[in-house]
Amino acid sequence: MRRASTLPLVGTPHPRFARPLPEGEAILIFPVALLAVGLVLLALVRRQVVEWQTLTGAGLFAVALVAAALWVRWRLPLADLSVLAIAATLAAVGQIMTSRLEASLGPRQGTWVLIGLGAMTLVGWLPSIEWLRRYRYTWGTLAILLQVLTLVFGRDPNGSGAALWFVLGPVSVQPMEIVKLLLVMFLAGYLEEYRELLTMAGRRIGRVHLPPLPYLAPILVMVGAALLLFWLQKDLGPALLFSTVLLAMLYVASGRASYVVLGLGLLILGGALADRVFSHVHTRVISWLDPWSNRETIGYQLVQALYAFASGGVFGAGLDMGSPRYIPAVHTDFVIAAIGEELGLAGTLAVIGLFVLLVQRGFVIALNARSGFSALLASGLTFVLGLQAIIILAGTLELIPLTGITLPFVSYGGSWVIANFVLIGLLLRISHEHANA
Amino acid sequence: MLDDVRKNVRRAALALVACFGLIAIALGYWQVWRAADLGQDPANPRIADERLLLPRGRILDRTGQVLAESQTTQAGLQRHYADPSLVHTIGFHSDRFGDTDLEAVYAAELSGERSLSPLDRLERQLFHHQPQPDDLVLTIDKRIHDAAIEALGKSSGAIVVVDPRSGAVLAMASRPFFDPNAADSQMPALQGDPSQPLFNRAIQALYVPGSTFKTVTATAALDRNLVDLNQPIMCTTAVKVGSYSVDCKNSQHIPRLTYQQAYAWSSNRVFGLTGLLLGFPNLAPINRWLDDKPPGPYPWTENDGSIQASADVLDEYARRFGFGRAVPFDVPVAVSHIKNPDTPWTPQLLVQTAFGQGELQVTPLQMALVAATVANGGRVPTPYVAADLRRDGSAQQLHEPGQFFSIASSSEVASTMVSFMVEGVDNGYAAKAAISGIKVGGKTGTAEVGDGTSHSWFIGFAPADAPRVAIAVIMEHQGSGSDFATPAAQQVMRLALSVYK
Repeated sequence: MRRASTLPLVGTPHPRFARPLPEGEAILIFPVALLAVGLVLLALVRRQVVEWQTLTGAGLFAVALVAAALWVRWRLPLADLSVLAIAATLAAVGQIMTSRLEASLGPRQGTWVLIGLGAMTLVGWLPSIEWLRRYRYTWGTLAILLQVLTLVFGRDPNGSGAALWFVLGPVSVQPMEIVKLLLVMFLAGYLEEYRELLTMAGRRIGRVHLPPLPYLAPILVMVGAALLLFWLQKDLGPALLFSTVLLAMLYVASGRASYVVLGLGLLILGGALADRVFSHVHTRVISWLDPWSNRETIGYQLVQALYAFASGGVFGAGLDMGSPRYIPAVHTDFVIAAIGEELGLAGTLAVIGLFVLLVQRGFVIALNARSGFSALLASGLTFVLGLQAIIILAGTLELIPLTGITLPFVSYGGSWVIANFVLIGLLLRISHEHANA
Repeated sequence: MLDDVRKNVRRAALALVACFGLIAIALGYWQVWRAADLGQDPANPRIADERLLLPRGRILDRTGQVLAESQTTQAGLQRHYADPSLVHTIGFHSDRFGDTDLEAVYAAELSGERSLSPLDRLERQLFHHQPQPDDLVLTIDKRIHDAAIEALGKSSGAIVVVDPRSGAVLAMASRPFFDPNAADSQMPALQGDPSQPLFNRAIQALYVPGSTFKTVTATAALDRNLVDLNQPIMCTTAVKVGSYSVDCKNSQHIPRLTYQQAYAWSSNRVFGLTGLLLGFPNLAPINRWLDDKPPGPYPWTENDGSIQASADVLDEYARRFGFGRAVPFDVPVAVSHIKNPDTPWTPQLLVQTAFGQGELQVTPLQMALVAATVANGGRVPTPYVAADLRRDGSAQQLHEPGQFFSIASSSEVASTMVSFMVEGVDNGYAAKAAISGIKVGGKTGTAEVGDGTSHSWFIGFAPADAPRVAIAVIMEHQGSGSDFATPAAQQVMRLALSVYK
């Protein structure tokens, strides 16, 4: 273990276990208790015998969280543990809902979370956050490469209509989840480099600042290529996510709202164009504009989700007492509708609340960062989590066209749970390196 | 430098949180604001789900006998009906074809959705109590119903038995019927069956009432004080009204008869002409005009327009009895009517209507109400079949017994009509309705249906001095009222009087 790697870029080094046992770690009891209660409740509702086995998942989760907390105290003693606690709570909700919706997948989801917590500790091997900045173009190139590889070698094992997976023997991996992190690292590095130019330069037409195209060109090329590849893969969710994350980071770097307005305008224009050109986009738009007339066909999934939300009411039907089985893909993209039906508005607002807390902690880390790159990286990673949640939630609630994307930590699946915990690890690392000592 | 970025992060963070705020509002919209209407959307698969999972309340007769209940079978919950012949009384519950009749009208109560207080609703939501279904108790007496089904024999038709004091329907039997327990699989065959087993004749069929309608005509004449009950009428010849001739064939064995005897022996001429004379109060008593030798030319022979006044009177009394309007009842009842709205009144049509043919169309329930009205002092009782809802020993009454929705005549006229109908049984065509030791009132009807056959009718009540049951019997294509419907009614009334006090 190289000691130097944990040294923050700015500020004084911190001796190992320098601070007393912080009360902060106690909040990790909450996700563990939530998962334990949820699993026991589920067994009781299903009139199964509650055995120690019922609590295996919660037990392993507890062990993994304690290990993660120990690791944080060892390697990142100044990190803000609350992001991990909130993410773990969302993951607990995800494990409960997966066990409820697809009982056989429950243990697998638990395993993904354990692997995710393990993968999170990988950030400990990073020399430093600064090191990430140095290799920004490498991350960008890797992202595009992975995209191209997906296009060439991607498989569609679940029949979702988009070939987004690498199948490696028994496991399938979605490279998009890694691309997500790589692109944010690239963007943070690049925008940091040209931040001042982006802020100052550019032509003005009246009161509107036009972006300085020469400086923007490399990111437009990079991100444009990524987006194009997503389009080619018919994977609209990530395309929308990256577009909005790019705009958000551009704003954070430049402070120019006009970039965002311009970008959103282009996005809508592009969407309208795609609506006319691509039938799979048109289908999404139609089923968004009027799902009720198409409830037997393309609007089926959305209408079933809305029925589920409505049937939940304020307090919900109760865990395992609703009928979310009518919603296709309920345990992945539409998990919030199942929460809405069985845990009610109380449950969905609690999940929204957790996401608000999570992004709030993420932004606090960005605000406390002492370098532009770290601030941009932390806010970019936070945007990835927040915007991903907003895109799928708004889609299931008929606010925007539905695009296939998962609800971070809650939806069933391995690739995204692991990638999102790595993301949490990065946030922990940034918060540690820039903590006020 | 970094401060700028921090300012931007703060603003972007606010925008992101605002987006979550919008999501929260959208959640509230779908989960609270739209909860009720989407919850009732028939396309919502949860509705069918609930029907399959939740037991419905039972349906009981007035003595507590179970007529319908949800039973757990291997295929899940299934509605089981104790007696298929009750299907037209109760209706049926089907996941494929929906609910009919009482099963439909009281679907909410039977499935436990009886209006809850907001507090109870909250408690139920919070603790996920299953909705508690109500049991529905009917006014039907299974024993009387069984007697009615038996009395109908193999004939198509209907029998309706009403308590004239309260309006409670004790039986409403309709033949043919079908087995609601097997309806889902047999539906196509049932729909094509020419005997129309799906058709609820007791309240949905419209029949020509035949002479039973003379009860309405007589009530009108008596209530308008047009008749001298003591002055006899000579009735031997036929009278031509337009091209139509009404005769005294029914009562030819008594050439000189009182108005009461004319009713008991069902004289077509007397009641046909009564219909035409209803609009001429200055001709009272009309007995002379009903005679073989009227005192002068009939007032309608010169000018057809003058019959409108008489038609209006007959129409008004028919309306008072419930014709031409929706009879208040738990389930929709076909509207009985005196003639097709588009046909103009002619003397011929009016005379035919007055003795019970013409374009008259009546439901068996309507004719039971005519008998019940006579038995109830001229007040038309509001019929009902659903008595109360019961849950955990507490009962909620659904109808106030003893209501009436119309007054057909004065109580004096009604008691005169009682004596007319008693005469019909004691010394008239309704003789086969007689029950030893009990005074019975009745009127027969033989309704010509145009294919050479006749529907056999009887309406009546017993005991005449304090009626407990009023009845209407219709047996399709059986022949005369005296020989078929009347003995059937006697059978049912005798049983009803022994079990129903």
